[in-house]
Amino acid sequence: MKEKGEKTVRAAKPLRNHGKTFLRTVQPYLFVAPFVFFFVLFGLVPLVMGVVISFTKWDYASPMEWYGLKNYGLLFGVVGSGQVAKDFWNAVLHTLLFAVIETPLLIIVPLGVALLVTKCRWVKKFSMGFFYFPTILSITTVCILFNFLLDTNSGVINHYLRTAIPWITQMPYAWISIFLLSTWWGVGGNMILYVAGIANVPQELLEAATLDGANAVQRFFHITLPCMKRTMLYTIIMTTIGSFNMLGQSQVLTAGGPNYMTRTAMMVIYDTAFGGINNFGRACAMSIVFGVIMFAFTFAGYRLQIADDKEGIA
Amino acid sequence: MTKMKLKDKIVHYFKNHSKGSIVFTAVCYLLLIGCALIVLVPSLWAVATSVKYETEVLDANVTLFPHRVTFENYASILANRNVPILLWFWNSIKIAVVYVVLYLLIASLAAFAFSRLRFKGREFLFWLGMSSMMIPGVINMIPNYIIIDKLHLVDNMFSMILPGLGGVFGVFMLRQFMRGIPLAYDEAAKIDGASDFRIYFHIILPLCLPVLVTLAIFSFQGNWNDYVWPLIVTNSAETRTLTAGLATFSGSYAHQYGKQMAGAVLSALPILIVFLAGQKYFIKGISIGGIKG
Repeated sequence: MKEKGEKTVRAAKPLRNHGKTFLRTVQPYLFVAPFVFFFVLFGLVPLVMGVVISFTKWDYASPMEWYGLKNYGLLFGVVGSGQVAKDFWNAVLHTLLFAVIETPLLIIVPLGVALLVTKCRWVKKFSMGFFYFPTILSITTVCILFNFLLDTNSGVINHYLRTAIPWITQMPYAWISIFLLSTWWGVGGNMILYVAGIANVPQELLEAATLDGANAVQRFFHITLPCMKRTMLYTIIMTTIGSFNMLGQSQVLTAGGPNYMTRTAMMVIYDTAFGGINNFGRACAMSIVFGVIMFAFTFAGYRLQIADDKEGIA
Repeated sequence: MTKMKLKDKIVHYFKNHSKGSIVFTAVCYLLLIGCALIVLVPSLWAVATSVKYETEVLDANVTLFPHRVTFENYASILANRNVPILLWFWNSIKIAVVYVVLYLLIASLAAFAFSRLRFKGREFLFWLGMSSMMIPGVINMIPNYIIIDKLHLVDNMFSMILPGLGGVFGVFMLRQFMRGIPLAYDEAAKIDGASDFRIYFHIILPLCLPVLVTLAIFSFQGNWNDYVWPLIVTNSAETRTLTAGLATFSGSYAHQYGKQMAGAVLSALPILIVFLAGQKYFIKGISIGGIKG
């Protein structure tokens, strides 16, 4: 499309002035048009739709019915028996639990591995690829693998520990299993970013600190870590969002069990919207309430990131 | 520095380091090996189990290495039409590659305009995009399904490509990088009579290559690992991606761990080959561009 536009300019050389001023004003819009089109269609329109649908009772098949604030009433336990509210908030609580524990795990463990990888420089390149390997696997592949590893009778973990722990079917093991799986799977991604971040720390600073008598721990906390501010901020935001959106682990490994104890917010929303009856109105209300909670947790991080971006202009 | 033989290198190393630092390094290597085992051992068990007979897998005195090797698990998985793993893999690759190419094109075009061209509404549009980045995607999930359904794209590969094209993150990242490229390049090209598209395509885009690689990796992985969206927009097994298709896999082979592991290995092998082939660029790409994000 754009290539064509360029050729017409050349052909119309006699009319250059006219054509060029017109093109100068229109062209920028042509550059952003594809992005804006998809952004509006799949980013803004759905947002408005979601809010509208959340005020309705709608199963997608029959006509939409205005429901007012009833969906929200159900979610906050003001209307109805409170069962919907209980299910929803339990799931939100589970998600918060997961995010609060898993996010630090996926920051600290990769940072540790990244330090080891950097220190062992004879095998640095090889180990970067090696520890990234689990991350390239699909979450479902990893769940199938862990489903076997964690099996009570024929699983490898019980085999090595010489125990018969019901890893998947009992609490609190089910959650421990999910943390184990998620960490095994997720370490690689942040690790690579941290290795890159550590490599970018100015060597002069570290040398100067060593001369001033700073030990390795002091150098790490006072030089390496502050120099990695951007990387840290980015990984913290992304990992938090990822943890909040957790669904695969709960659905494939534990199927939300035992006794709905590993059901996450995403799972409840998915089941409400697509599990048998399409309760779109209620599911949209859930998405919005859960979205607001997520927003509250990530907002500060984003603000820092955008402030950082603005600093770049000055 | 002249090239040293490994033996000389080792001697050199021991001469130049204190006892404490050598011990510390050794401990680090040991810890690294420990971490490596945590990754390696489960993977080895998966491969080993996939070539065992099911009776051997369930044996209480099971060992890592199989007593008798069989490929019947693989044969039975590949013959099962309800779990077309190779087809799923092909779908996943096709969708992810088309998505990444389109996304890089769209995002870089927009980032170019946002960072180097002047037009009315630029700040507003960019601000709008940035703010929307903070809005959690879950709110859009159900309405997006409705849009895809109204466009008759359910069970179509484009249902897993188009929604992601409105992503703001790539535009943000690319704009940030492009802003670091001196405007003098554009001006020089303009004096030589180059159009904006030419400047974008022949000057700015090649300079952005490191970020483009990084972004390609991130968006490829995001698309590849998307679990819930393909489940929502596909009804038939043939149109699913690998990640979504395998969701019910363990259920259909309950307690048949030989077959489950054969499935896991089959689903991991192709992407592993892709990864190993491109590993050099891959790690470089993340290392160069990732920090800028």
